[in-house]
Amino acid sequence: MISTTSLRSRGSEWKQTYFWTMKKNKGMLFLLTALMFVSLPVSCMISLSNWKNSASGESLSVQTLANDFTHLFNTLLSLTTVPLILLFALILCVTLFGYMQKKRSVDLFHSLPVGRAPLLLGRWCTGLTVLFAPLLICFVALGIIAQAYGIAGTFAGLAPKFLWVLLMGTSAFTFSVLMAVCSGTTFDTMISIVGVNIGYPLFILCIFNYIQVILPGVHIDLGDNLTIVTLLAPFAAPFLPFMESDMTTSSLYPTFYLVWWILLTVLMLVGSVRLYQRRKSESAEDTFAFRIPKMVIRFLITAVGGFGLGLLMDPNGGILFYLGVFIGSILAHVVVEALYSRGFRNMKKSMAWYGIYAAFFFAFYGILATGFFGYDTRMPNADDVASVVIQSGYNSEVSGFGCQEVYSQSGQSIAQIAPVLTKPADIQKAVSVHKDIVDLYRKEGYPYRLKGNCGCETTFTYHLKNGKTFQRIYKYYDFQAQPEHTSRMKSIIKKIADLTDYKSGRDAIFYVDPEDVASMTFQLPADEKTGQTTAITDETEKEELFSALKQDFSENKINYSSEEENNLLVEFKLTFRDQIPVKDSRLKILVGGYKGKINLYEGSYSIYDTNSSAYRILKKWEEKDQTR
Amino acid sequence: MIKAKELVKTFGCKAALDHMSFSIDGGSIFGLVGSNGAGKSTFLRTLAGVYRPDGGELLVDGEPTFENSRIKGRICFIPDYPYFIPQSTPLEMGTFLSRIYPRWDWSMFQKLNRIFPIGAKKKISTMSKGMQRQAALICALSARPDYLLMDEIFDGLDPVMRQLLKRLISDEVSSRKMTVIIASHNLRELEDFCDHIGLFHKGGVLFEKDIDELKLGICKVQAAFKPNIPGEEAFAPLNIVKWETHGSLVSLVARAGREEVLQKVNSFHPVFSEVLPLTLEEIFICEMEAVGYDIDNILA
Repeated sequence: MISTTSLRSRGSEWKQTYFWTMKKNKGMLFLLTALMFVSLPVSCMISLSNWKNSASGESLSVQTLANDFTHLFNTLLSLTTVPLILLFALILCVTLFGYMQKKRSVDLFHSLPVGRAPLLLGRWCTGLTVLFAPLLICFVALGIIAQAYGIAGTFAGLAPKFLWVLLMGTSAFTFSVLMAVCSGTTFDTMISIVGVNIGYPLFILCIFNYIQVILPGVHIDLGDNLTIVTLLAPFAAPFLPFMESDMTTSSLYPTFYLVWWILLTVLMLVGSVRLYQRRKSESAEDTFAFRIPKMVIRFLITAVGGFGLGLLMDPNGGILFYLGVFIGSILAHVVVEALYSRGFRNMKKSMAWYGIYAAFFFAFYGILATGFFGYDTRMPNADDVASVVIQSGYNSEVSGFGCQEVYSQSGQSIAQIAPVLTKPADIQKAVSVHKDIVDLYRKEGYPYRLKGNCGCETTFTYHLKNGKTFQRIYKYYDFQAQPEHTSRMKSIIKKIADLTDYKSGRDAIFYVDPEDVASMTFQLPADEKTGQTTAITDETEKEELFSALKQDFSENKINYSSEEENNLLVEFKLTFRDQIPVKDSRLKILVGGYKGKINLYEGSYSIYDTNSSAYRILKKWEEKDQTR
Repeated sequence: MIKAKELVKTFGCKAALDHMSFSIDGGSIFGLVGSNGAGKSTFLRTLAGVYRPDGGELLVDGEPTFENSRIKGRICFIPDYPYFIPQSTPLEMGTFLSRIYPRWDWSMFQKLNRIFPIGAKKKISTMSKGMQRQAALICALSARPDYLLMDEIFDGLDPVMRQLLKRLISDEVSSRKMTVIIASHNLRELEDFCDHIGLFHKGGVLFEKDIDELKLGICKVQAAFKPNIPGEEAFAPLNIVKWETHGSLVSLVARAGREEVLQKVNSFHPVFSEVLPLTLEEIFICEMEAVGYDIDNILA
């Protein structure tokens, strides 16, 4: 049991450590404050002033100013503040915790009547104070500037990003401290920090790439998985919310990611304290106090070296690929080991660890090549499926634009338009087609192997009766075998392409009513040069043409792109009104759990067929006009 | 009181302290001597709480020192290469340590700064080795420790400073019963300063004795015999530590009292015999030779 006296004494030790180290790091605090002040509030103030001045004469709305300010703030935060915080996290780690990596300083600090926990925590708090006091000062200064320009409300909305930078600064600094505790020298601390922050994301990227290239049915969208790529990289993760193209306050970060970093930071801090209490003072100037980081980093870099060089030498998984994997991994292993051991002394012994990597590689590759324990052939029973959404690039008859994407009220993309099959017979057919694809992939190469990166995508999204979703995404990666594979896939997909629900589900016009169309225009090839378009304003005519377009789409007479591409007859453009309610049951399936109204962008529909309904209507109207 | 019980400290597979057991009474000046790598510095660092023992225990007034701030507040350790906060002055070091050591005495600090004129506001990094040791000593004594641990403290100090150091420490020991442990290879300095000596060898303690008792318990006799020199075995049961003959002259070191050895030597009717005083260094060499640590063995 820890007595109150002991706690009080530890508190006093923490206080003394904190105030002393703060005193010694005043210079660092002032330096960071100056750098941040110039990079954030001063830059913002100059820009706001310039915008105001350049807009003199014409009125600059508060909203425009607020939007520009938001973008500038996000840009400066990600390009200057975050890098400064990360750089100083490294510098402070060295200045505050470098003592534990020198025998002489260890003699002083570990013989002092100060417990290791307060010693570490006192210095950790100093580090955070030096990192964040300048940030808070800048935040307040920015608030005052925003107030002066009348955009204080907008500025308040940016606070979460500040908090994110605070959290990630804490994480990066705590991670550096953990590495310092585990390492015997400053050099080892630095290469460990760099090793994890580069090695881990690259390792995950390699794993993702191998999984989706080898295993049929898997496609990993990197954009959706950046959180996983940076899950253990606190020096990369801070940039994530700033990578969104739309850097508004609404596009922050997933909650789990936030919770993860809070938990990981706490865990790293607790780990640092516990390990420091167990750390042997004599490990100063040795390579490692605890060997785990070295083992992890060596494994990550070895794997990345192997996976990377293998792909570079032969992306089609031939013998050169295996040679590349071997050479890349062994080189990476030797380099990491030589760096950590300052030479080749322990190289022979370390080869046992290379064996672990080799075993991992063969197990990983073997599991993927054999279908990942039946993942490749697993598919739902047709009776258990409520609906299936099929997206395929192998729709031979149709290509072009149309209106294919559904957006939320706030303008975020929420779904791709695709045929939704709900009838049991259609579902049965879809499952059968899916099975044909599975068989095709097996027939074309089993055990699966690495293939080049090209080809189009076919996606089956099953919504099961039990509420779960089952999805498989097929891509084909072998460039040389592509034409053959394409023709096989086309013939398979054709089996469902003729289904009525399939044909009448490939564009947004099937999911909305004519009154949802805001404008309808068409352009004849002759008018292309002048850019002249004709608008259809009569509601009855609009409705008639809308139905005709749907019919043409069903009959594959729209966006037909064959050899007749030059024989364009007419091109229709449809715009839709804002905030369309989701009425169609199939559209409800497509947008998933989204409950709000939707937005659709402009759709473009090209007609090449003289027998198409839309074209015939235009002809009919033309004749009518001539007779008038 | 300091008590080591089966104390073990290992570095990799090498035991620097190998099941060491002995005790040091409070209020004494204890000299740690021993061969290189005997474990003297390791013992001091373990005692200062820098190292955690791998086995056994090392207690100061009944309590272990590792992660024990209460006990460590009463101990000051001056290592062989003292460390100071970068760019600091003795005054800044004093300010730093005064916040940590509960019995810090600023008047003592000022007094010592007058005695050791190194400059309280001068950067320690610009000082000579000897001056840095003086700075370390000023800080250590100002903390008013009950236990002062010093590793090769005489290195770099000029003879005057050495005497000054000895006097200051002796005053502290006599006035407030401070316990001092000094590890040094400078046996001449230890000889007239320490009251106890512990001889370390290969991680163990060969002996630990009062220095007077040590000197009385071992003596060197030179004697000339004619015509025949008696063999070493003839001197049994005397514990002969060292035996040398040069013609008819015998020189022996025996672990026994002066009278006892003389009596035995005289029983062989030497032409002459005399007892020579042994310095601590000679005792050290003899004792180390007895355990096989001598030049002949090293060169062999």
